[in-house]
Amino acid sequence: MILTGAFYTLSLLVILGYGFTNVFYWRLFFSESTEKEARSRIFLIISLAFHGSLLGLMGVLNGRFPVASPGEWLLVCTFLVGSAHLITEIVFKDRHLGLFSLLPTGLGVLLAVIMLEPNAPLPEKYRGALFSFHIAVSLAAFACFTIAAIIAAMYAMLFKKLKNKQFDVFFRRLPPLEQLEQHATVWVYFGIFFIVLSPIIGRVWVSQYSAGEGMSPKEWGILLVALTFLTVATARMFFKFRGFRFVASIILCFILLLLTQIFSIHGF
Amino acid sequence: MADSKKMHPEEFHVVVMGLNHITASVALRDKALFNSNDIIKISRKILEDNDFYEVVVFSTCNRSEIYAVTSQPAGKQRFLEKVWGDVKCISEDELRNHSYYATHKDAVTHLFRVVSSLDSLVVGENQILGQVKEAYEFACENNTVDFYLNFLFQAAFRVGKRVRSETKLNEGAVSISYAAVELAKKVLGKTLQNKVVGVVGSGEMGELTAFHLGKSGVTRYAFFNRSLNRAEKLASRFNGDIYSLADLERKLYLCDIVVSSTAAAQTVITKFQVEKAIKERNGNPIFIIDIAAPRDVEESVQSLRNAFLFTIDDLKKVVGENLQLRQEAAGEAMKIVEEETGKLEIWYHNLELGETIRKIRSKFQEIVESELNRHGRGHSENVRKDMEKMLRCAMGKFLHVPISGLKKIGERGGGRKASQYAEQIFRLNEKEE
Repeated sequence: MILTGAFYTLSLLVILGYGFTNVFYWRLFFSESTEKEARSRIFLIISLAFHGSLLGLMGVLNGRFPVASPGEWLLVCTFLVGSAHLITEIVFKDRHLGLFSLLPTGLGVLLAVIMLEPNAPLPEKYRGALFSFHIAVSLAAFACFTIAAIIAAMYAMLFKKLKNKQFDVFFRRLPPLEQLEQHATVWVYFGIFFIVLSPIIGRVWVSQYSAGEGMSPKEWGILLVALTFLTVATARMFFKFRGFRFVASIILCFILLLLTQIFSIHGF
Repeated sequence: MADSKKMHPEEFHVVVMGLNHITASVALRDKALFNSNDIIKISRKILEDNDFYEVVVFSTCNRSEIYAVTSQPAGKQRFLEKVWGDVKCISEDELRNHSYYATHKDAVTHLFRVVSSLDSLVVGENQILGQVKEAYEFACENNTVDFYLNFLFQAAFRVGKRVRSETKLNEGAVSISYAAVELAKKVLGKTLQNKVVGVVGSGEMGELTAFHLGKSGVTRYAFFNRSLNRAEKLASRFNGDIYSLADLERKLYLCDIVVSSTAAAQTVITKFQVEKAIKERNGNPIFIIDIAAPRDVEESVQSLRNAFLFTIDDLKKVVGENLQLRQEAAGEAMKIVEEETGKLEIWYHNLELGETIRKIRSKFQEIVESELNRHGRGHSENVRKDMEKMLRCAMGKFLHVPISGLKKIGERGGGRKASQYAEQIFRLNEKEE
């Protein structure tokens, strides 16, 4: 009873936290005052702390990793996107990206919380650590590609601003093109690492439980996306496939990744 | 210099007299400019007057100012004009007609506006804070500042820092050459280290832009010019390579940034050349600034995906928008100035009260000790300690209300009267029997 109460309270706090975080990042981007800059990051850290606590609580409540429903996946994935954003802004010392990456994160959290059930059932064979690890790694790959695609979209926006000579607030606040390309590249590399690791773990799990019935359409789709991302990253690394073409390819690959999620359903 | 710390707070007043780009012409500003010898001379002359206690004098490109602490603010404008006029051989009338004089809060606000660069020709410029700091340090070395100006200038430096960190007043380029650097950074990254700058032509503007790019980390230059003599001069200054204009097509691929400012009547850099350079650069972007009139670079270059071409008009547009933003940020900065002026006023009003409050506490301390000596005899050490604790606790509680009341009156500006009443009520000037 107490845990269920805590679950609803934390769900509310997570939504409120991201709401305030987005307001501060919005102000940070558009305001000419730097007075409240520090607050934006504090609110993000608080929101992530609530978010992480909610995931932990769900683990305690259900005795498993939160992977039973799309709501739970979304909650894990948005947590990873939020964390990836925090890492990006700390490493690259730029908080102006928050307006773009935390808005989808906040909306995702809202949607996830609406879809959540406190006691969603999950068959025994999906409760093991290996399966949970497989899902977590897949979601990490998804989070990395999401943040890479957001940064790539910002590159495209700044590119257009520079080409059209529009020296507006977006031109002033967005980091330089070269830096945005670097950010996106780093997250694509991480994403490829996770997306390659995920099926390997999945394969081990399948062999342990004899649960496989061959590759599902979603798995084929994800394999295709992984190969596309790998091709783009290799082209950048070895064939100087850079600039606008590179970021446009990242966005296209991400759209492809989204399509694999929409048009195919995993086995369980 | 008199010891201004011993003065009664209501007997000292901060005054400022100065002239700047708004009140005086360039010729007069140049004439009135203080060098270090002038500063020593004028400071000494001012402090020879018995009504002056502290002084800081400084000059920048656009202003010359004297800040002083005096007991007679109303009658001292003439005196300062005379001293300034004598030292710089300027007539007093000319100074009077083109200078400003402010006292008390207005003088404080003026100094805060100056260090925040709200009063500068280019609002938000960064040099002024450093220049005022240097002037203050020079005054300290010459022993012309004491308690009050020391506090005022330290407060001013805090204001300057706050304005720079809490507002965007000093953000964005406000000169053409800086705007070019800002745009280059938007494309090529925050640091321009390891980037190669190609300077086409030997125009002054191109040289200036190359200089500002150098300040942003660029160390490698290639100079393209018809006359190799002029290019050699630039190359030796910036430690770059020299090429003739005919080499442009062959060597353009080396450059990440191209600054073109030739006096040629027709275009010097064509779309074909840039396209070829981009291919040779493996698709890496090339950033071109065309500051020549008529244009040096074909307009169609902009249609190439990895070429970013900006003209003098684009740079002017960037500067114009940045200036407008600085004006908007100036409102935020002014709020900080007003807030800090208010804080300084409270400090000023509480100066005397602080001394009175210390006297009240010490008087009650003496009473506690004398009563302890009288009634504590014959008791054990533990009982004495308890008695002392109780008396001190009671004293703290008795004094809490009057002291916080005094502070509140001080904050409202009635510090002196409150001190006088407190001295009478608590008989602070009488020795306790």
